This record gives sequence, structure tokens and C-alpha cells, in this order.
Amino acid sequence: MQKIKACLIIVVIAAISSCTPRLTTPKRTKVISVDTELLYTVKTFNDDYAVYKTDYDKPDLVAATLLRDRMIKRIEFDIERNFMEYKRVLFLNRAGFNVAADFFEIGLGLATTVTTGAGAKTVLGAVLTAFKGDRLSFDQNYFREKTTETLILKMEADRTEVGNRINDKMSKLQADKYTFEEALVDLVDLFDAGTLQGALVSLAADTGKQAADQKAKKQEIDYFRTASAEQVATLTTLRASFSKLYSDWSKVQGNQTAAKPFVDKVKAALKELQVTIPSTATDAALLQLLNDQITKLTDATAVPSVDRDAYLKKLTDAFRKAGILEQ
Amino acid sequence: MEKFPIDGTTSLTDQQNTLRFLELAGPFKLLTYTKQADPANPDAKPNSATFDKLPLGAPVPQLILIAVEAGQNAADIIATQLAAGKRIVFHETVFVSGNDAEVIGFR
Repeated sequence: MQKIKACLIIVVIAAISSCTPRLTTPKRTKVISVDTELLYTVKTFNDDYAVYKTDYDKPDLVAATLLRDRMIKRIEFDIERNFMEYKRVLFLNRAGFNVAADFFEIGLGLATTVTTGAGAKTVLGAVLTAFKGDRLSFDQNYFREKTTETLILKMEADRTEVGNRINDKMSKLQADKYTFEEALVDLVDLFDAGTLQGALVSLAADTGKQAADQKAKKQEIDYFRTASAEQVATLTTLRASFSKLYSDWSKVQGNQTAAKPFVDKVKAALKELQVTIPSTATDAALLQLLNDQITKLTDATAVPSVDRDAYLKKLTDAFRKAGILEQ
Repeated sequence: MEKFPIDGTTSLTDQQNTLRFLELAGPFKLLTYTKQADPANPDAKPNSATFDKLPLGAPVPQLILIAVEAGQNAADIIATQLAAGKRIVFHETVFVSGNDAEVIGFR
């Protein structure tokens, strides 16, 4: 009788545990399926890369930039498509494991209750405890006890951030300033952001100061870009003009009438730059305020490197209109 | 004191332009320039530049960086530049094009 009961219990547990439903996503259209012919093959990539390098070396930067953008977008498409598949599998596998584990736990619990022998009860209770421990260990080691939704949302957020960074650079920088090789590094970041490990590390970084500092440091390096010889030349002219204005003003600063033409130039430049002029500002403070507009070029958050040329032009125009810079 | 990380994977000319750009924008004066190895990210090659703020209107003398090539003597380079009226700003091993390089800064 005991043997029959034990067999029945095992059958019930096995039956219940295998009752996990098979959920899938809607069928994809062919062009975005994983085996699509749109896949960027290594051969096509190598061909494109060879043409890109030729265009870059000529240099035909317009052609190189166009090809760079196309290569980036094709790789992005592959990463995106694979991420969608990964997301689906991750969600279904974990959900499937959890459902099976829940059913198994319920089955074992039920079996422990209906079993009459004290010895058998103890064994089933021990098995249940061990199984719960294994399940917790799986969650802790693979998922750090984060829900699938939290991890996927983190992946999505990080991927959007990297994707925006790539698009921003693509739209503002030509191939000589944002090379394909640099884009490739960003694309690897994009891929990493869509992995379980990437999401877990990123979540840990959000709460860990040291990791966050590393990220900020990386961004700082990323943002403070090499200055071109043209940018240095433009800034040399601007700085020399400002220094001359300051020197001229310094010589007469005690004489309000004599200093007025210089202060008026400062005010005109600030107005051109759409800087609010405090009504109580002294002449020295106004000059400092104008200098601050030049110093902004050292702050990547105030003037991102991609906007550096435009900002230098804005300063040059303002200095010209104010008469600080000769026509 | 202002501190900036400079990309050590770039050429010496690019680094000179970048340092000069920062000096002009400040106005700042370069005080130190060293490489900054990052054990957490061995692929990164950052150099670290520290600057002193200059008073408004102060001139920002031209900065030049010279790499001591293999077989060259640093003392000879220094002697030549000193004779031309330049002063040494730094003499360090920094990252240039991603590799270690002995570089001397003058102004």
C-alpha cells in the first residue's frame, strides 16, 4: 500500500511540474526574422569596410561618412534583431523555470501533507527545503534576485542611451571626427547594454559610487575631444581680442567716461550671446562674464565637443558685431 | 587648479592642440602633464593635465610638446629650447598614440 502511495505521489508531482504552458510571441515578418537575408554578413561588411577605408584615405569624407552611417545602421539592425530574440528567450525561459519550480514546490508540499509515515514526511520535507535553496541560489547567482522586467527595462534604458549617443555623433560629426572604428566601440557598448551581464553591472553601477565614478570618468574622456588646429587658431584670435580689450579697459578703468566705450563693447557682445546682464554688475564683473562665455569651451556639459565649431562661430560673430574683433 | 583628462590615443600634435585650446579657453596655464593608467580599464589611455587659472588679460604663451625619439638625448633637446628662450613646463612619460612616450613641454 505504501509503495502504491509513493508511486502515486511521484506521478502527481511529475504531472503537475510538467504542466508549464508553452507561451510564444507573435510570428515575425520575414524581413526582421533572425534568418533574414538582410543579415549583415562578414563578407559584405569586409567589402564595405574596404570601400570606406579607400574613401577615408582619399580623402572623400562625404562618401566615407555616408558609408559609415550605412554600416553603423546595418550593424545596429542586427544587434536590435538579436536583442529582441534574446529578450523573448530570457523572459520565456525564466518564466518557464519559475512556473515549473512553483508547481514542483506545490506538489511536494501536497505530498508532504498527504503522506502518513513520519519518515517519509521528513524525507519529503527535506527535499522541499533543498529545492527551495537551489531555486534561491539560481536566482541569486544568475539574476541577482532581480525580476526579469527590471533587467529588461534596464537593458532597454541603457541601449537607448548608447543608441542616442551614436545617432548624435553620426548626425553631427563627419567620418574624420567620428571614425567607423570609434563607432564600432560604441556599437560594442550597444551590444553589451543588451545583455544580462550588462544590465546587472549597470544596475550595480547605479547604486555603487565607485562604478558610477568610473562611468563619469569615461564620459568625461569621451566628451572632451581633441581640438583641431582650426579651432585653436580661432580661439587664439578670440583670446587675443579679449586680452586687448581688457588691457585697454584696465588703463582707464578709473575714468568712467574713458572706460565706457570698452564696457559698451562688452555689453554688446553679451547681448549678442543672449547673456542676461545683471543691472548691478560692475564693469569688472561684466568683463568676467564675457570671459566666462569663452571658458564654457572647457566644459563639455556646457559646450559639447560636437557643438564646439558652432559655438566658436557664435563667439566670433558676437565679438565682431560688438567691435571687439576687427572685421 | 583645473584638471582635465586628455585622450592618450591621439597624436602628439593633437594633444598639443587640445592643451593649447584649454589654455586659451580658460585662460589657463599648464602645470603638470602625466599619464594616468586606469587598472579598471586597461584599454583606456588617458593623460592627466592640471592647469592654473590665469588672471584676465594675462598673455597665454605658446605651448609646445616635443617627443624624445629613440636614440635622441633629452638633454640636447632641452639645451636647444633653453637657448631659444623657452622654459620647461614638464618632462614626463605620457601616452602618445596609445603608447608610452617621453615628452617634454616648453613655453
